[in-house]
Amino acid sequence: MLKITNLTKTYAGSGVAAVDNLNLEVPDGKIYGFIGPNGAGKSTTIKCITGILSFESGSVTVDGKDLRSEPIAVKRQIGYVSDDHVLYERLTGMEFVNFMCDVFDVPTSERKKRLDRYADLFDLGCVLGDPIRSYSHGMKQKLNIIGALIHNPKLWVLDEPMTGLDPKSSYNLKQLMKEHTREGNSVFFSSHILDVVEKVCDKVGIIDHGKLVADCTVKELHENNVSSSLEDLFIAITADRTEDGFIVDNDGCKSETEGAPQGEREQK
Amino acid sequence: MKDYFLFLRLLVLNGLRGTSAKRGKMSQGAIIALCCLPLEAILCVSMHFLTKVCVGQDVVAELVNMVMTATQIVVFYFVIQSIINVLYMSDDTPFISSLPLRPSAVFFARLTKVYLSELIIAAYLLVPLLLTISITAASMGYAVSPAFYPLIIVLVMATPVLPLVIASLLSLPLMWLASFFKKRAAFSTVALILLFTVMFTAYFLIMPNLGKVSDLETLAPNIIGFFRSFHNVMYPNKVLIEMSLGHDALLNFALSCAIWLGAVAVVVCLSAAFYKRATSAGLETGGSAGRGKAEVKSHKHIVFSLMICDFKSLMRYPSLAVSSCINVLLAPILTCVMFVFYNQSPDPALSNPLITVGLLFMYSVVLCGGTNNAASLAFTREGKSFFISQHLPVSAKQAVLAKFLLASAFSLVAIIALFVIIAVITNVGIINAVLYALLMAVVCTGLNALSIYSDMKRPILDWKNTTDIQKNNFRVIIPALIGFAVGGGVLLLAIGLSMLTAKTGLTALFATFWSISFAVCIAFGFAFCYILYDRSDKLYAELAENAERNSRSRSFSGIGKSRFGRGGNGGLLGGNDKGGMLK
Repeated sequence: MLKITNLTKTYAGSGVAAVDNLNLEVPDGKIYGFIGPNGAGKSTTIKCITGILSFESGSVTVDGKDLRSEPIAVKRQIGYVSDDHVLYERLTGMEFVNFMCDVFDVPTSERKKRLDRYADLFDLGCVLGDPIRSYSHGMKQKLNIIGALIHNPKLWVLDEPMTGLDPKSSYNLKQLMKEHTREGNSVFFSSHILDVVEKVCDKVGIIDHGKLVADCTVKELHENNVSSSLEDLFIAITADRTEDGFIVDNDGCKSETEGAPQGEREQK
Repeated sequence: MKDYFLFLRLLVLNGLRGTSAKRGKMSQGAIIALCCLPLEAILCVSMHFLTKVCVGQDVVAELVNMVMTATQIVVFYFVIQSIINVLYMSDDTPFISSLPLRPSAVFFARLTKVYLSELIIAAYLLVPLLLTISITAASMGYAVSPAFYPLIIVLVMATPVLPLVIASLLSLPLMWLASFFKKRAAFSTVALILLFTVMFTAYFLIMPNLGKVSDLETLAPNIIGFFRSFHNVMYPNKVLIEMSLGHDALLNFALSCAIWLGAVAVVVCLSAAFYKRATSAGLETGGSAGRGKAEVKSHKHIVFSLMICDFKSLMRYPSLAVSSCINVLLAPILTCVMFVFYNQSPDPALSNPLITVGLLFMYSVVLCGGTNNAASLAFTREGKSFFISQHLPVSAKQAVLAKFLLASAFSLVAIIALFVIIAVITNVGIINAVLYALLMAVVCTGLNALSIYSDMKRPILDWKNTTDIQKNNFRVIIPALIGFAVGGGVLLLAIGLSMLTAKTGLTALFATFWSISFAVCIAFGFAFCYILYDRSDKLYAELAENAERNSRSRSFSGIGKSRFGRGGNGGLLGGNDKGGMLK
């Protein structure tokens, strides 16, 4: 469903690749968990997949269509939930959803049925007629999710979708993800909640400093390491423990602060 | 086309809802329009008399062109900021980029939205003036085609096009160039300020010619020459106006179509080359600014630290920085143009130094104090980040003092520039120049205090783009109106005293003028500074609640969920999912 080949993205003015020669594949009917430390390149990768950012080399293919040669066709296949929901706050929830339906050509006969279902699952039925600016953070996130899923895309790309969701909505979203993949579709999502990733995902990819350092099933990860949880595995792969029990980056970088009152702080 | 109309509808709905208010209350825009009606009336009366003179000299079409061009310059001032914000720095760019919408459709929908916003301004300014000119000219026997009246609509609709095309053409390479600079925001700020400086210098070179009438019957020959030359220079406007007035209508219609449609076509072609690069650069925030050194600095005083932080934030937000700087630059620019670049001798009335000082004071105080956005948006510009300030161990007085000092610094820069210009090039003398600068400082202090007080009473902390707080914010006009009143009072005093020049010496008159002016202005300045000082604690504590109340009164449905206030119904830390906003 999703195939990323040799993806490299370097931001203008930066000498370091934010995403460095990334290769991964999400087969049909699978949920792929994409995890990594802050600043590792998760959001950059997702923005490259969804066409928000351009990339200098490599390719992204969704359902056989190449993003560079057929961007509009690829975007039609994707339902994207961003980590910072930017919604049109002066519209009502209903107007926003209708806009998304219009953009993705959702048949009128299907709109009400799908919207009723999602509104019920996410408890937004009563407020869809209200302006989005009156919503709380969690409600905006739910609306963002509904807007991304309403057109039933083949590939869901979710960037930390659980942020701000209440437990019921989180559970329902996980169930929706499983249901979606049972129909032969795919989900690609990033999260910092490793428990969720461990329970829900079929495959996990760990990115660190722009490189994919692990790409396998959770079962394979456990088989290759003695640690019992994904969290332990994650830390083991991406970080080191200090003598006083804290965790630091394992890239050996030195902080470059000048004028610090007690000298520079060095990291292993 | 479907993509274009879809996205345009979204932008218009979202934009319109921002300006509509609760039922029964007028929108901010309507209030501003009503307040400017007296000015509009004055302009129409002036235009009526000017038209009479122009009819006699057969330069009516030229007059219409001058008026249209002046409106285009006003529109350009607003459109350049809108273009930057809406086209390149819009918050929804990443979201829209992920949707299956063609980039060209997105670009043109955004451009159309800007056009529609500026069309309202153009219509408000132009329609009364064009009607005044046409009716006056017709009443004097000038051959105005009957088609001119309905074609006023065409003239009004065409007016924003040229500024929009120029702004688009300028902004495309500007943003493309900015993408190569690490400190993009600072580059954009400086570039915009330079652009506005050039624009306003040009504006002030043109405008005096509109009002330069040697007597009530005729225009000076060189003014007529200037009108005619200008009419030819502004050729796109010329063909449209000549067509509307019925002069070689068919030929001018063909030329109008060719020129105006051609201008749009140029924007279409160039946008394809530059737009994607410019927006892509705006999206690349991760690591795109380069990895500079993280330098640890310490400042001795908390107020100074707050000022530095506020100043840096302000200057890295191009549209806010431009509006804060450009207002205080206008006074020196205007002074320079009047006394240095204006080739013709100044109006005889200005030869009296007392009136020179009064006139200089009037427009300077409005520009340096009354429209100082650094003061009138002191807390509003913090937006949703204000909750950070509220959690800091900073007293209300320290926070307010930092804002006040920063705003005063902006005014002071302009006052120093004005002092130097006035001392060197005008006939007022060095002592009067010093006293003028001191008086300006006193009044600007009071106006800045008033602006900050006004902002604290009804801040807007939930803004999404700067249009919400600059164009659609009525509160920023109040200090300007009060500054106008103070400046007008000082000018009237100067005019009144100048009538006694023949009987009393200029020195005595100046002494009287300064004594009265300082007494009044010190009282004014002290009063507003004291009010701000006295109420700063209470206002600061209630700032979030005031913002929430202001937000509710501006919202579409009037439904207000408590988002900024503390305690009570949720507040900052959130009491429940619907009532709070925990970011």
